[in-house]
Amino acid sequence: MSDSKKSVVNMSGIIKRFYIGMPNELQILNGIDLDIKEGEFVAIVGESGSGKSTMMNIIGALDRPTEGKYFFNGEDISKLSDKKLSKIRNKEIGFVFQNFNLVPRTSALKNVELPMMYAGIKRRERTKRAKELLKTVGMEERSDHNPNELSGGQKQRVAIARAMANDPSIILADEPTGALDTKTGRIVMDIFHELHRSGKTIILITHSPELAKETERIITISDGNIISDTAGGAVNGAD
Amino acid sequence: MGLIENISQAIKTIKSNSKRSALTMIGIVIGLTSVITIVSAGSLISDIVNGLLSSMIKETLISVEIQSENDDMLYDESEKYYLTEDEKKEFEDNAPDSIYGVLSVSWRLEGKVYTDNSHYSLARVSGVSSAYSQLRQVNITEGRYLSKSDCDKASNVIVISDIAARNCFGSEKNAIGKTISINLNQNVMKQEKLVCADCVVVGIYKYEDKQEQTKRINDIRNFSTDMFMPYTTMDNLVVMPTKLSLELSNTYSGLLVAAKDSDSIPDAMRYINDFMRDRFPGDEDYSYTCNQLLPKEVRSMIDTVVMAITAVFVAIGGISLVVGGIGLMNTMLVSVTERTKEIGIKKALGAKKSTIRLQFLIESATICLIACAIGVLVSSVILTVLDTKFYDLIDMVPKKVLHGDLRYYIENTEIHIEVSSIAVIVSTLFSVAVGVIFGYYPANKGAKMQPVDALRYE
Repeated sequence: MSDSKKSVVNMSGIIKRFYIGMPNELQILNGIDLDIKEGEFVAIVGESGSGKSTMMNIIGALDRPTEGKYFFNGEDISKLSDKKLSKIRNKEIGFVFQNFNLVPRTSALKNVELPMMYAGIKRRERTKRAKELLKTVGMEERSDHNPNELSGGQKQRVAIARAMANDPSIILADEPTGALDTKTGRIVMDIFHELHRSGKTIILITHSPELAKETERIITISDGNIISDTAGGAVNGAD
Repeated sequence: MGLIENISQAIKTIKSNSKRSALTMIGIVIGLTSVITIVSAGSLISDIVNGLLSSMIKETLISVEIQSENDDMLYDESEKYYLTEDEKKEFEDNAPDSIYGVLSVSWRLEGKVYTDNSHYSLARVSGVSSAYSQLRQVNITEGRYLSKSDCDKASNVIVISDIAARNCFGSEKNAIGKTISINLNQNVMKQEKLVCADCVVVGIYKYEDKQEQTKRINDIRNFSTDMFMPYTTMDNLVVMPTKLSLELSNTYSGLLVAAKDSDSIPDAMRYINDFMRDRFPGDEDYSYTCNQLLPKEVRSMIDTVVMAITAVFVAIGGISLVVGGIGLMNTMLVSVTERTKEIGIKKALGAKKSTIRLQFLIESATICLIACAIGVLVSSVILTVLDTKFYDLIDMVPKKVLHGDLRYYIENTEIHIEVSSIAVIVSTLFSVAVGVIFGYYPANKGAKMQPVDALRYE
């Protein structure tokens, strides 16, 4: 909140164009400027087609901008190689998807271990850590269950544990409650608040203004432009 | 992700798509089974051929044959184109160390062959070894020449000339398999003894009438031609001269001499040449030939042929392996496409291209290794069955296809068919190679997927 906190996500003049066929260029993002500091709980709100998914992909280093600069933790990652980007995704970014996106036919424990495997962490250590993470989201009893044996809310909790595996700089959640009912959605949001309180930077992508109100800061995007950047309902982690 | 993890993941995937995996593996299993079976059987063929040749003919054998340049219709006693018993004894007694001994001799008696009083043909019947045909260039037109089993069993068989066949049976084709009677004259103790036998005609050779003598004779039945029977048969028929008897007029048209070893052959040949030149000065109407049976070149030629045949079959097996590999590539492409979302997730979590590629390469290599294990198992079963039932199978092969020396050798030798361990090792390496080569393109395809697109895939 104060200027002494460092910028985790710093974008200037981000433009994203898609080439569908030569004359048909689609410009999804028209020069985005964005600065998110460490520890913030930010919501990015927009209708479908507003460009919020594209923005999420760029924030999450899943995609590169066509023009502009993206400083992640002070490093310009806008032109990095695939290999380097995947390393950043692995270590610094924790994804939570609307459709959970757990690896099928694999236990919850192994799913949480996956990012640590890619980071080269040894088996004993990562199993231990995975068990701890599952405990924090209340899923330690089902650590050996496969995704098809879990309910939506349970899957999302495992996904959050997975996102936390390598203690990333940001948690990037794309409509995390979109496939859940109100009750389970509530549980998930509470976990996010918990994480925020412990100092994690959380970026929540949503189309629901009500959900956005739970965060500290609401950034609204429409037609590829940020049209507003206001304070949210939650201030300093208090709910 | 560690190797073990990848492998256990691969096995899980294979198990969950068991039908598809099984179908994919079939091609590779067939390819591997055929390669292993054929290579193992190929070495068996090589062993049989070489063993047969070793038993038939030793490298150290030297065959000495006396040839008459002038195949006159009349057997002229004054002309010498035979060795007497005395001379044979002399040969043996004076032989140097390089000569192991005289293995057999060719007897030659004259007389006639006939079926009845009017169907006959004058003959000079020689008792010879099965190797004789190579040297005298006996041109078999019907049936076959004498075999080693004929000699071992001292069968009453005979190879006659086409002239004799026509004289006795009307045509060559009629003669094969029929019985012919033989009357031969043998001088023992200055007395004529008649040697009689009934033999089955197994082969007919073409008489080479170099000087058109057949045209000059009125009655073709009186044209004397050579005939051949096993020397062991001849031994049984003729009256064996006793050691004390001096009046021996047994004639030998040739000797089968064994040298002590390959290195002794030059020395042995020298002795034989000297001995024969003494008794058969070159400018007469006869000569002798001294031939070393089965020189090394022939043996290595045979080895080369067997190797070439094996190579052809291995190539065919290799082709089916390639075809199996193509099926594998197809399956892996499907597998990669099916798991597009999963690839997207993993990439989002930070998996590198190489990680994804490795995962799928290990999956295809695992499929191949399992197929390899199955292939080894199946070929072991096939080879074991062949091994135990080998002689039953040989009995089933008709005599026309498998006959003579080869059949005799196979029936009387212990033949074992084993799984060639080289074939197993090479096949295992090959199957891993197939898995990697044919799995590479799909694995690469998966590795190159863009995470954003992959995640969107339903």
